[in-house]
Amino acid sequence: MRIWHLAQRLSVALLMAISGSLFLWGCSDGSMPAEPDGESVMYSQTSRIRGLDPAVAGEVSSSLAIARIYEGLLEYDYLARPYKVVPLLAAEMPDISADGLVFTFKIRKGIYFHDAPCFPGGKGRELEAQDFAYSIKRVMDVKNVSSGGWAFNNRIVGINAFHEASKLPEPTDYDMELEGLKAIDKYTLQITLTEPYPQLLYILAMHYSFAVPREAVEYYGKEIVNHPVGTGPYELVAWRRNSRIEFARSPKWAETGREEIYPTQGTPEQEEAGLLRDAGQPIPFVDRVVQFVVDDSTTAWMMFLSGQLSFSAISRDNWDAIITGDKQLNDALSKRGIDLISSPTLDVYYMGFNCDDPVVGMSNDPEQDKRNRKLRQALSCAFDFDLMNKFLNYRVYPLGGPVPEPLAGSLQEPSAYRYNLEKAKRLLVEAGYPEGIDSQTDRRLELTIELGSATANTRQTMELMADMFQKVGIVLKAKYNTWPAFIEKMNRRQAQLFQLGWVADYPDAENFLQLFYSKNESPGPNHANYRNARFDNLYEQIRTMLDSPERTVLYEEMAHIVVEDCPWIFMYQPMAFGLTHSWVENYLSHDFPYGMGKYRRVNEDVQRQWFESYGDKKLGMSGQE
Amino acid sequence: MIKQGQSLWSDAWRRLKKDRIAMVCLGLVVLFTLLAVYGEVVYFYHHAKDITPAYQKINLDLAYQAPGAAHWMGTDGLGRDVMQRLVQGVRIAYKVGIITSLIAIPIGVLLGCLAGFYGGKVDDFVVWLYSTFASMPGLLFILAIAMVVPENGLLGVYLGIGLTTWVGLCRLVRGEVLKHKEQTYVQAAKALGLGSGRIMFKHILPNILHVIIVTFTLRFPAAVGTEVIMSYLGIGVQGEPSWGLMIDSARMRLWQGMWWEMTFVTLALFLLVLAFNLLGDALRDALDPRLDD
Amino acid sequence: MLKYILKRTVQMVPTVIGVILLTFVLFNIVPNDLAAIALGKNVTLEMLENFDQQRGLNKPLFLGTRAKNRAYEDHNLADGAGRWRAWSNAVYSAATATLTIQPGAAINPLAFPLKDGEYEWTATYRGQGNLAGTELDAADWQTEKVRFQTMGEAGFATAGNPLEIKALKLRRITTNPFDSQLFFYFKQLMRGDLGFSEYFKQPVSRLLLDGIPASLSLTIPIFIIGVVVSISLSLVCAFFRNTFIDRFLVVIAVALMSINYLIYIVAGQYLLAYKQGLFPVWGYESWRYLVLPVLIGVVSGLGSNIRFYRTVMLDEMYKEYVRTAFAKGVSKPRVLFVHVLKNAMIPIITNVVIAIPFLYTGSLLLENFFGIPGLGYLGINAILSSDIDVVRALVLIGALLFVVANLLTDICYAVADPRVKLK
Repeated sequence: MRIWHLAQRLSVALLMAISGSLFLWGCSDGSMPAEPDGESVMYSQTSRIRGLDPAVAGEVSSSLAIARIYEGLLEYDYLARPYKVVPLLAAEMPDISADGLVFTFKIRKGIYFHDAPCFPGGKGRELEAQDFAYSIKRVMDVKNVSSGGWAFNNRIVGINAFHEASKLPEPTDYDMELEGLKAIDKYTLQITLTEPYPQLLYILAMHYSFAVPREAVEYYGKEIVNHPVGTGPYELVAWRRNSRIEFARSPKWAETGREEIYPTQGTPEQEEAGLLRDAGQPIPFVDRVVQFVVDDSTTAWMMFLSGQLSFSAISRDNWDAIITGDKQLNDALSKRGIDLISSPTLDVYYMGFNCDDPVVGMSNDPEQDKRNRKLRQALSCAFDFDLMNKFLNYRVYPLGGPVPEPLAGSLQEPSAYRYNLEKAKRLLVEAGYPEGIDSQTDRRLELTIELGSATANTRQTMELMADMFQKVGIVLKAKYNTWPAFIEKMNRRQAQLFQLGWVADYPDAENFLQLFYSKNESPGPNHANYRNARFDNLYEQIRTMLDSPERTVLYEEMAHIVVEDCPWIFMYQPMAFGLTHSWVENYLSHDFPYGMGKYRRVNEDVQRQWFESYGDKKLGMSGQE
Repeated sequence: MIKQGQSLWSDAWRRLKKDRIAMVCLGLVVLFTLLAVYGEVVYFYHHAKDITPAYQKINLDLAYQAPGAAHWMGTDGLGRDVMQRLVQGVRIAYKVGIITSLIAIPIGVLLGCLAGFYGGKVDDFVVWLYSTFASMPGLLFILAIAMVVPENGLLGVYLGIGLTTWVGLCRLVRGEVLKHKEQTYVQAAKALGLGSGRIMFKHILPNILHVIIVTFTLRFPAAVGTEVIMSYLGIGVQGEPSWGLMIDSARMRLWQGMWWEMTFVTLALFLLVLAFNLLGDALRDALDPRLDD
Repeated sequence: MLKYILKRTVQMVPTVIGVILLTFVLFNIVPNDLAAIALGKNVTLEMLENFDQQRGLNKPLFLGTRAKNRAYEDHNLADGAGRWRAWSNAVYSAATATLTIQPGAAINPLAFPLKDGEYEWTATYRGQGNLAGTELDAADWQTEKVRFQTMGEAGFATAGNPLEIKALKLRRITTNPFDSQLFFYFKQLMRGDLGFSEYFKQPVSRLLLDGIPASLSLTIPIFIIGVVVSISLSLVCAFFRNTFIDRFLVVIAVALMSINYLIYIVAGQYLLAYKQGLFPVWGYESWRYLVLPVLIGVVSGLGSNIRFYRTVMLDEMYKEYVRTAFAKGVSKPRVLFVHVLKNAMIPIITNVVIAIPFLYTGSLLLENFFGIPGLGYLGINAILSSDIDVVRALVLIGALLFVVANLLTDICYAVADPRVKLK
């Protein structure tokens, strides 16, 4: 090829590239992808969803997605507070035997699985009681590497024999008869427990218990994480793992004549807030749900402001620009119909001490043990909740003990080891570190805390904590790990201090108290490796007690033991704050919002109007004009 | 006998002085170096005395103040003075640049010399080694190294960047040694019976020093830039104020009109990288014995 | 020619092996806990061990007949008592970092029943006692290996005297010394199995295949447009050599190079996408979503590309034949386009071909910020969540592609300049 030719071609290519970009420049409008007409679509954001198999999924984002497609015997009532479970696929609440060990469930008739190639003729078949027994067995099958084994382990008669049998290399035998988990007839399921299990009903509302058809598992094998087949209101349409997931209304409900309705009962406040407008209407309202996996919070915020996302969290950095002094939304945002939602959560955030550690932990030598305990108590007294609250934009509640409000077992009176610098200094002297000086090194005592993330927020929080400790003369060094590296350190008991949170699995204080049970030591959730014989004793008692005033008394005693021994510094209980656009209706937050997308509505008229008025007028990133 | 080395240096210095841009860059580099040294002194002083330095003191009431009399570059989200943290950032940048070079340069030079000088099996081995490392996909490899280093922190950054930059230097050094090996002065030294080690280090090495210096000057800003990206992603520096961390913290606030932290850090980073890059270019032109306009 | 290609291909093999070894060393030697990531928050040691068993993670590293087991994990007593706190008749002393098992105790430190097989304790002890059926008796510190078969007799028992322990290790004895992680890895690769992503519960090869089209749709436009623009601008530089335009472009190039990649992305996304609304902020719905990332990719690379191509052009221009051409009176444009460009093609092609392997990883940062679901996005997520198999596969494939590209370059070189074959 002659060089002149080459040069000419290069210039032409260049011109085309430039004009092409100009053309695109003129054409693109940066708006959302066009919606199919007449359909109601909800766009929102999600964290990465790792898999859609109910037996295997361990994290919240996956469970939420699973709950759109699969359903269980029970679900949480959308509007009822305090939280209550009500029947979903069960016809009514179960019959419970007198000794509390036998639960008999009647399954609703006429519930069908979605159409899928795993069924003969591709048509989904009717749900049977057998499906629940099968699904629970899948969780206990060692080959599935489920994260939900703890929910059923040793609780159902015969399930552990099944678990042991599944360890053999041959394919697991799901036809194995279990005494404690059987389908008495096509529509009746009977669960027999080994001991009373007060939280069973909550467990049955969790995704581990959702009904999975055997045909799908046998047809898809491991691929079932990508090909969910459930009974729920939505089916999976498209899934690009790292970026986008799309659900569409399942035609099966209409086809089989299944109708579920929006709750009809609520409190007067809820009615006033418009949450009962759709009472008795058939759900789900939204035809299509599209969720994007946006990692970067700034990007997600930009997308929310331009109307691409319907919900948004409020980052700490944006807070005081968006929220005015009296916790209201600023004018620019409220003018655009954006709503502020706030609700308490059942989460606790704490700094834990590793009781294995010679400096801060528990010891066989009673003198050393007492001194270490005083050190822990001193540090607890050095934690300035008000300062932390200020840093967190006054969005958190103080924690008096290991159980958050409003669960039974939360301590009403403030902790004996809340912020008190004088007390902290006094305790430090008793612990053997006057002014924080370690007599062995003649320098200030240095403690190391492990963290599971390295985001700006985490870093700044730790710098704040270091500042608090510095006031009593202790140096706090923070080590930032990636989450997996952190989990490994936790499991190998290699931390001295660490920061973690715990999100409730169900609304019962036992879920928090188990974090101090010695048998749950690392790699279990008791990462403080705390051990107290009296506490263990009480725990074993309450494990089988149903909710009662006696149980609450024991809960409180256990909480007191923990506060006194101080294996944790109780940091705070956060409130959840979020923003929704005006076209989102029926939104009420819930600590266990599995499957609750079906109650929400997108008001297309409002949405269209919003885009017409505000589509082009971009707000500054701070939510101001 | 006039030693070839000396006149090369004075020649180079003359040429460099003529280039005004290069002199400005040199001045900038010197300024940054002084800041880095100052930062290190401040750090050690506080560490030795076991007190918390001023740039770590938190005061939420002073958060997000615009540049003014008390704080020339304003304050950040926790009320700390941006300018002081910026200076500490220079220190961290220099640490990264220097330590990664301390890792990369000895390895690269040693292997390059051995390969070029001895040839044969040694050469084959070194070529195999650097081909293997050179094949690794850049940033991904650096991040992967940093990921697997158990102590998440600066060590991962140093190793990651250091273990990937020695390759280029090794290749260059090997090429230069090969060229010099055939030259008469080396043949003469061999004929005189001087040991290989002596020939390598006392005779050849000074003649390829310019390659090393230019490489160092050009890799330094690349290392700093990579560290900024790594810190931003959360892999790297902890506890001390690195520029990557400051950018991360300042990003969201920028658009609310709190421009100072982001702007000053970006500016400082830009100036440092630009100065080193231009200086490196100028040095390369000045030291290259071939260029005689 | 064929002989040359064959020769170079054979020379490639050691590099490939080197690459495989390097990825193995990097990712397997360093301790990481895939099991914990996969299993979530409520795990037991037994669950972790079952997981390791299934994925071959409890084999010895390179060679050997000793495998670790979670029933008793390696624990350095200098770090603390660890699990030994559970037994009151095993007293830990921090000062000497030893454990003293009191007289008359029977302790089995295994966390769960062991599978059938042969196991071995390695204990450094002093005193008297019984470990897994073997009598221990030493007045001073001694290290001994004790073998046993089953769980029942696996523990410690003391009679009248205490037994002090300084170090304790449990290993499973395997029969085949070559049954190691290294060979497991090799065998996997031979099968074409790139591993399994614990995070996504998918085979890695599937994830890679899914991500490649997206990455290429980003990097190929950046590459092509980048090359075209840079070469054109560098020709301009060469044409106006040493005049103001040339020096100006050089300074601009260096300035562009000095702006950190992050800044380009952050500023570009905010100003152009959000504020001006010219481009979508995030996503991969249609080709429109690629315009801004491509633009940023081209502009950020412009600086170093222009400098490189300019150097190449100038190197050519300083050569004898160019001076001769000028002396002969050939016009500047003709010299540039006809002679210089043609000869500069060789290093340019080298540069171009070498850059091809990097196309496949996409740009880690661009994909991350703009949500392009390619290999870069996959890679960053894998690194941040320690999804070892994915990162390892990405690095491995990248390296192999590079080696192949090198081979292709050498062949191109040989075609363009036959003298090369003789070296």
